[in-house]
Amino acid sequence: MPYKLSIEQIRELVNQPETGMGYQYVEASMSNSSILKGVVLNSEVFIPEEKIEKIMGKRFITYSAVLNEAESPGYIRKINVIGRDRLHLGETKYFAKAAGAPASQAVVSLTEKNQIFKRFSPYRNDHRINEDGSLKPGAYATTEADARNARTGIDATNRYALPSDEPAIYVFTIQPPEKTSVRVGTVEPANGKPGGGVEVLFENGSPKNTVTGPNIIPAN
Amino acid sequence: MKLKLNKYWTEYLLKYPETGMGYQRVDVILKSGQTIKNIVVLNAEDLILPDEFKHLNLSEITNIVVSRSR
Repeated sequence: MPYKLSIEQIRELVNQPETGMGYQYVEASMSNSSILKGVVLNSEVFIPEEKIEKIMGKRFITYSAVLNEAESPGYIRKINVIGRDRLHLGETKYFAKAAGAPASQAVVSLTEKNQIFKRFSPYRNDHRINEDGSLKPGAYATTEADARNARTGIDATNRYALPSDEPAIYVFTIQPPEKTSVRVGTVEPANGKPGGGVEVLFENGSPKNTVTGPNIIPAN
Repeated sequence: MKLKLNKYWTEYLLKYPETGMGYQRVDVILKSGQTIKNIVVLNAEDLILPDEFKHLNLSEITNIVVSRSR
């Protein structure tokens, strides 16, 4: 079982060097007084040494899946980074990573003038879109270019790994002002869908009169 | 099975970011103390419940905790 770190422990590890790209070897003092060696991924989730093969070695597993399985913070009392020589895990076998990071883990970037985004939904009354044509903070969309790969509602549910099997046939168009903050990433496989599309997270939403639609595309 | 949330819960969920396009993953905490972990809410209004909770009533929900993990 992986364990999520507390905010304080994450801050502590972020300020210490990585052992390799995206991970640190650590020694953790657990709340039951045991001491476990293992790996912390992305400074936020600890996998004990003896669980690594079970969790990551038998099949490809996404980072999101590891996080989903992880126990909530509170099981780890103290955690310290240790030297590479104190743990031997065969990194090349277990730490292959997905091709792109999801938007939630991407750096903030700014939109360009007249840039257009699309949002696919199985709901005509999409609650993330306000009556005044604004987009609520924390909403996801995709780029106009990537949306061209989703010609049907089923294409969209697969490409954006949507949890509902209902085809996302309603397509909203978002044209935010220049320099709107977004995070752009790749949709990881999730919800039994392959993902692989571009996802854009509008952390602060988009102002009024910037969202239009929906247009309706075929279900399949 | 889908449970339609009321306006109170929809407005509550819309204050939190999505987990992906059009959905959130949440833990639902019941008045009984039981937690239904890691389930999906579509469009901040349709809670997708496992079969064993198909008789759940909205009034039994005391809190919904939004996760960003997929």
